[in-house]
Amino acid sequence: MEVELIKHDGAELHFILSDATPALANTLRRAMLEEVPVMAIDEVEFVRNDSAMYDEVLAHRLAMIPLKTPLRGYVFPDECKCGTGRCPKCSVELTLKAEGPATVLSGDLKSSDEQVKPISPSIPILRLLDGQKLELVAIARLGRGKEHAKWQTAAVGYKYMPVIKIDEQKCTACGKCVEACPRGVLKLENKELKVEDVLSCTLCKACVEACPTEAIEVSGDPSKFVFKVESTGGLPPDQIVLLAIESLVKKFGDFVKAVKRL
Amino acid sequence: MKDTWPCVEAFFKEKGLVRQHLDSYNDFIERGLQQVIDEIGGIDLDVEGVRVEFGRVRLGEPVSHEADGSTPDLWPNEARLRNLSYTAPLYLEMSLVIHGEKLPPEEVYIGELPIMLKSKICRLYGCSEEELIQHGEDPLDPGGYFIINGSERVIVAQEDLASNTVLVELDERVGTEVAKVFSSHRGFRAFVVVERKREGLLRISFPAIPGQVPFVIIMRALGLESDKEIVEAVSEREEIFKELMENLQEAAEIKTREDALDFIGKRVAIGQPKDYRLQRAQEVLDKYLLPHIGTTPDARLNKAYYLGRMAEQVIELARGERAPDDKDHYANKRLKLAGDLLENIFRLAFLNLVKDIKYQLERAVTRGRELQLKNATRADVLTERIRHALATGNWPGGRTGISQLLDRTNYIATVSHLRRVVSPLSRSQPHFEARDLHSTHWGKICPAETPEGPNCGLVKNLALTAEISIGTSEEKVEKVLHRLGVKKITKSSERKGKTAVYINGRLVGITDNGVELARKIREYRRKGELDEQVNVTYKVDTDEVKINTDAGRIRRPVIVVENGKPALTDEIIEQVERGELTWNDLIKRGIVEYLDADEEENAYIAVYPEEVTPAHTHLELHPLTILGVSAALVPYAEHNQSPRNTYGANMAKQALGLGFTNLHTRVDTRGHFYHYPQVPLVKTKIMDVLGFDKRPAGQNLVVAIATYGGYNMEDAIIINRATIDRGTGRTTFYRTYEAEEIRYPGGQFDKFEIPSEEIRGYADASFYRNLGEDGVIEVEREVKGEDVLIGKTSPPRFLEEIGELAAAGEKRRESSVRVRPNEQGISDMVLKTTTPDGTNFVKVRVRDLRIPELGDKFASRHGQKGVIGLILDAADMPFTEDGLIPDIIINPHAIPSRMSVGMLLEMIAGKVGAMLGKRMDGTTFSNVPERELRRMLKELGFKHTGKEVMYNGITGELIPVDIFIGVCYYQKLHHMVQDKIHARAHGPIQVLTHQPTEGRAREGGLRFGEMERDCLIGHGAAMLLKERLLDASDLYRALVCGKCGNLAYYDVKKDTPVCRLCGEESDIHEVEMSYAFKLLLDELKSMGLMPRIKTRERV
Amino acid sequence: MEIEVVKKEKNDLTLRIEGETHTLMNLLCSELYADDSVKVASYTLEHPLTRVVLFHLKTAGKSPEKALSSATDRIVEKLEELKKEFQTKLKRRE
Repeated sequence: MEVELIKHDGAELHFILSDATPALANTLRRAMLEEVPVMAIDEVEFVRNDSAMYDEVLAHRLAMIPLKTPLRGYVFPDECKCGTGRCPKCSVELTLKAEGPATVLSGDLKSSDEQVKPISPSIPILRLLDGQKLELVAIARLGRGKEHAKWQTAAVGYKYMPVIKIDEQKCTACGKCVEACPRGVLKLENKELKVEDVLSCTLCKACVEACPTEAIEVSGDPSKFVFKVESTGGLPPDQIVLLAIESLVKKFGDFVKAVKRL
Repeated sequence: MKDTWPCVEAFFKEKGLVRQHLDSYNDFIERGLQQVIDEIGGIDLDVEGVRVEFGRVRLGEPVSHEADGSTPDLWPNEARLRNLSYTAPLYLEMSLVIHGEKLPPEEVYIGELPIMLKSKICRLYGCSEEELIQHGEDPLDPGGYFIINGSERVIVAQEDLASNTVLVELDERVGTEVAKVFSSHRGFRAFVVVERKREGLLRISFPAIPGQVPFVIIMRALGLESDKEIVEAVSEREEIFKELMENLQEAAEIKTREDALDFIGKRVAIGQPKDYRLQRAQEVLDKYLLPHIGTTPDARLNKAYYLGRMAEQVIELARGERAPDDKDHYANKRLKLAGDLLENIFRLAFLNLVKDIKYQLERAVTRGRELQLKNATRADVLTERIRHALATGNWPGGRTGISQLLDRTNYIATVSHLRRVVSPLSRSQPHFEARDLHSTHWGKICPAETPEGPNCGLVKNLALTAEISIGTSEEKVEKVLHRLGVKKITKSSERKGKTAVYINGRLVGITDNGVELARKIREYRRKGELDEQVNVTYKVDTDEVKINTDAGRIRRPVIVVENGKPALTDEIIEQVERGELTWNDLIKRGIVEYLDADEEENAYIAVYPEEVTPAHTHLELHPLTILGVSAALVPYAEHNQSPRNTYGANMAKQALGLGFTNLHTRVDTRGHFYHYPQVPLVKTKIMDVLGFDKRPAGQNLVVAIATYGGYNMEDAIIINRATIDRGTGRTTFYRTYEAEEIRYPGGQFDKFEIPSEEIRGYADASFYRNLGEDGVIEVEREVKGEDVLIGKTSPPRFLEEIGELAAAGEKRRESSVRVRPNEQGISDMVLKTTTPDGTNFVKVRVRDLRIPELGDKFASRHGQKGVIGLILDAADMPFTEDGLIPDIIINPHAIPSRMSVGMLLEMIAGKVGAMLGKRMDGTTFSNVPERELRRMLKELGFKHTGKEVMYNGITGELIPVDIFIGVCYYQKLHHMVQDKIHARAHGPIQVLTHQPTEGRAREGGLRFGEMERDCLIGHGAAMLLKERLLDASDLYRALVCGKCGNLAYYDVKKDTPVCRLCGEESDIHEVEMSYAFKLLLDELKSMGLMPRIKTRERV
Repeated sequence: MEIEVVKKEKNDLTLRIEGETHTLMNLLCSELYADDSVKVASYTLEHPLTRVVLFHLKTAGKSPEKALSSATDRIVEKLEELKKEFQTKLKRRE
């Protein structure tokens, strides 16, 4: 199995995974979506809410704020020995105290752990009119995307590696395929058709449909996958991939153990 | 020519959305009210020499009448909250005239008149946005409705046949031809019919005369004595003359006017002396025959000519020379609006009041007391009559459903409701022609927006620029006509060869050149010398100039075209865009004018500027204006099969959204709001005008059209779990409960309190756990079904039997207000106030968060509705190379038979818009064309087909077929499964029949109906049938006396069954029967029949 | 993860697994088929709204448990290899 990194800046990571199967690629993708643990607000205790926004709506908004998550240091609440889900090992407290007139932003949340805080301080939460007060304690916990989308760490997709074959005998260099391609994959150079940017190809086959002589063939290689991982900000994308793999290793390990116990 | 849309925007800027209601009501207030008073004029008492004269009527400002007598200002929202009626006091100047001496006038309070919101007398009239918000109103609320007892009521426009217009038709039942006229004058509607019976005999019927009177006799009675005169009045043609021969012969005996009057007199005043008969006959002819022509003797000749014309038309119809009139042609229809209907009610209520005052005054005289107008006037009479009509929707004349509870589901539902037109025809009859779309509906009535089912085609909605005429005075028009050379005629012979000129169905004269006259009138109108409400047309086939100035005509604005050039130029459009010219300016300058259905008949209207030729007279303002408010919201509607647009228009009214922004100050019985409403990516131009962007009702979702596991078959929808997790489709549902501490006659009263345990009907303490000391629930508490919101106790019912152990002065019983059994939520708001009677009054609002679940109904704007069939995890969803997954997957089978291509185009447009970050114009008839959309899509890097390569989220493999995926605006409709799910094994039964109750709210059973019964019979499942119909329903074990067949009863004390007739020893058997049967026996017994049951040993 | 044995006969195993989805099952079955002694390796969800899997494994030659553990071993091996490869490439980038 081989990995080739293509792009790695900030929240986005693109890479090619070769020598794999769709099942493996998909399981990896799903693990990144569903299994990677990340922090998100899970419970809100309201002390005072004078705003026009109902408690339940506000709590939902707080839950959807992506929180930065440290790689180690926390356990899942159902695995925690405290049993209450409220101890410093399995939870983080973020407090919010504000008074109108103001727009309450994510930056107004004060966390009990500097490493667990909103990915950006300027996410608007709600508006308070003059005299309205808001006071609450939000408890963040680890969770998986499987359970709720607030714990989804990234958007992940992949495609089969595009394979474009040009039959030089049949090709008349008419350029119709170049015109038809929405992504600019093909180029006509000196009356010769060349593939300019194979990674941009989506396998849409517009070029194949446009070709009058059936000179071009497009297919996807089901053993090579071009991955695109875009993080929501809680964890860096490379960590997401690694944590995903880790979670899978654990999962399969637990499975075998459970089977053996039968 | 440039896009004319800015002119349409100018129209709405000036007129608003509910102009018809406001205009009609304002006209009533300013003119109609006083007119009714003046018509009645005064009261003549039976007492000698005493009269009352009426003067000016005045409307005060809306105030509330409190228990302590104070009258603080009343604003609409307070009326909503406290269940008051938003009304204003009416004062009438009355003066007593005693023996000719007129006493100084007094202003007497005669009652309350409900106020239409945002009308000229409403407190909100002219308020700025901030002022409206200060008073708890939504600035975008259109007004045009009333508040009666706290509920918002709309007086819906009633569509009726035009009055004072002759319509000929074939009366199918009788097989004869008739000419009918609703002659309407001062609120009195006289239905006059000229019928041609077999053998050509003509008969006239009109109110006050029982049966029918021969035509010739009436003509004679009206003053046309000679045969010649009568024939001339009918027609000049010889063939017609022959038809009349029979009639003349029949009436040969009645030769003079007096004879004719006497004939009539014998019908109306039987047995009276001749003088009286003659006088009465004349009265009847004046008042009840064609009153719209006049009610005085000098109108009689004109009436005769009118009847002659009617006769001519009937004969022509019989001869096949004339086709029956089209009753569905909008020229023959008028709409009655709030003003007209209120005028009717007011007239009746005022007449009642007058009667009452008369009685009171006469009573005062006989008792020798001083005549005090103030004491004699009981304002309640008037107030109550009007209020009751508006509250129930029942108008005098038997019409029901006139006023309706305003639909507040969402903003569009509200606006559409205020623009509704209802036909009074019966819902159970087919009425095919009336339900059809008629060509005259163009531009006046929306062709798409109409309900499915029994009301189809009978309930209609106004088109965007449609307007209803208010009417203007005829006198001014008549003056202009005379100036233009129209001559009055006194004899029908003068009519020969000339063109007749009519105003509102009344002949005013003749002219030589009808075409020229019509043109001149139009010219005057365009210059502003004649009211723009006037419409004129020249009818070639009857050689008439018809002028309409009456109220209730639907009209629509079109651009004037002269000599092949539209009066609206690009320059003018630009001026309008810049705000330099208003809509009124366009009308005043004759650039745009209103056409009613009559004038439209002879206008040649081009649809697009390119089509205009010198032959054209007008140009359409904008093609979108043929649609109504709801249909205009559907994007790319011209690409849809038309019923889909109808469904789309109807469902837009059921979508949840942000109906109004003053949620925190309103207490609707049921209400919703959407948590994250979005404006549609693909919008239509009407949204700017409507303010839809400020009150949206849906969200833009990524939609994929694919079969994906089969859970989206038969219009079901697969929805992404993550989409719901993120808050899509979340709504809050409110329900408001209310209770009043009623004071009963006799001094007893209800009380708000936490009931103590001894009170009868006390439920477990847990139900009362959230109540405060005052018996009312605390805010922000979680409540579920049957929990008490307002603790209330009531005195025992008076008809109760007194229990054995209780003393007099009974136990109170529990009458708390509880949460509906199937519902739950959080107590949201508590309102405590007092009624004008001074009693305490509480409203509690409960809110419930509704997250989308299986069974909730969603729809796009193209009639594609569906219910959630599966909530799929995000990872299981098909994905693109970028990791994009759909929010919703709909089944491809939903497209081919429906042909809703508009939705496919919306999806492509939405995709482009989402990628560009721009909203796309999908306005019907003027949208971004398909070719352009595909080009833009390709530019953005997508395949122009809108399909994308996707991978299976479950297996990870490439899906061999590309999937069509785009962005579409989806609405959540208010049908949610939580409100409908219902199950019952055993439950409450009805008192009378002992059968299970009906309805979910009463925990009812589902009816095992006749067809279900047939199925069991088909299976031969006799015992199962018996179980369903008896054991599970009203099984009853009756005691039957073997001797007398009577029903016996079980005596508890003696512990034996007893037969009333046969005593204790009689052999009494227990027999199984349905309670319904036992009920039958009781009913027979109540009629004096003695049903006996013969018993036999069971085999 | 809760596993319950529904059926266990010679080389025919049916398990009812709670708490797992396609993420585990799809890859597991795919890898099982790489083993020649596996005749049937399939799964379905009891219902798409639940996370309850019915897993059916039929072998010839090996016991189902053996096949399962060797399949998972191979999977874990591949995953560890992937992880190393990834870490290497990431370091190189820096």
